[in-house]
Amino acid sequence: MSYVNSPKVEYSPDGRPPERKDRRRQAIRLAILVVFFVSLGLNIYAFRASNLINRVVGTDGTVQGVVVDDQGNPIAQAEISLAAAPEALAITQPDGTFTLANIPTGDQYLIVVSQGVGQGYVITIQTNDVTQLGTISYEAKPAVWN
Amino acid sequence: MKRLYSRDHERGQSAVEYALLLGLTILFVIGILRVLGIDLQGVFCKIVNGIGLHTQACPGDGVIFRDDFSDGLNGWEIDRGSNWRIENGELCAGPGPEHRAYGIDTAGSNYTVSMDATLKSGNGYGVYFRANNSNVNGYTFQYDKGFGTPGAFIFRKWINGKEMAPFTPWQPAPPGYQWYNVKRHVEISVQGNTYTAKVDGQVVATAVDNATNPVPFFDNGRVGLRTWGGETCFDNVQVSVP
Repeated sequence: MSYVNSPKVEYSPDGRPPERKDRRRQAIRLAILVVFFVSLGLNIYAFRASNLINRVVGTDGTVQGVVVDDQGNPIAQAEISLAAAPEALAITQPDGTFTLANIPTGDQYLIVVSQGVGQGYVITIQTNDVTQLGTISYEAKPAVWN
Repeated sequence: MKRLYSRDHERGQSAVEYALLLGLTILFVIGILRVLGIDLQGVFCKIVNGIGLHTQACPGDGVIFRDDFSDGLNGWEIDRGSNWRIENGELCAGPGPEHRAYGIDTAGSNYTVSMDATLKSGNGYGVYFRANNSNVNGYTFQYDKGFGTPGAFIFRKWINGKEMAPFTPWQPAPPGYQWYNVKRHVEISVQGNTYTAKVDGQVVATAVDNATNPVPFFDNGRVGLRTWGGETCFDNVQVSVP
């Protein structure tokens, strides 16, 4: 090798040749990162859509309300629960009132069962506060009504 | 001349990086399929069948369950009620409190259930579909003489074992409908969120479940039979997939 073609010392101060950039390897690493973040995003979307996130964030919600029939009369002994938390249960008092505590917050599906048949209501439960539902009108027909 | 040392890096991808890339690509594909609502069970079912590990029938396989009760209650899981028996080659239940039985190998998403059924006494009988657990989550079609006058054919949803009010508008049965002691051919089509019931070839009820979160929607489960209070006999139960 002639002197003019030899590596110049100033481009490799430690005496080693400069590192070659492996573009193919970098491209694959970038692809891995892209697939990772897209997969993460899709799974987060599916997780939120399943409403499981409301169970993860806590069960410190409380709701209160009054269950009445289509004539406005209070319904006693009705069973109150959430679709997402069936273990939490309340029974309405003679005046139709109820308190359901230790339940997940956020958007939930409240189920009122009277005479063996349930009716559902979409509600939003606040965090760290009692959610007042007011009057809930129960109009479902019993299983046998002729 | 100063000796030049090459970098001690190896060229190319490691096995770990290739494995990671492959795994993340698979997760990506699964995520896309779920978001698009593709029936993942059907996709994986065909893959499992393809490598010789058959678990259950897949879409396109046709009849996945058939029972004329010639071998008794084999193939059925009795969930409730003590008065199940075989009479004249038919499976009869009741009279008595709630009776419930599930076909063991009937799990699926989209299928058509058919059977012959005769209401002997009481207020009606039901057919479960997409049902799960003893504390049932799923749906029933009900041949229901006790639902109003003169009775009706209705779809109900079950949530955590609670029988819910019909989730779709319903029509009463025709006046003078013969409810008792007539063998009826019942067929229920379960496709996506649309359910159609036929009795003796006539459409008697249609339901569309447009439930969105937080309202539960059930997309998979078993077929079952139900009576409440009265007596019903069932025969020729069949489940087929499209």
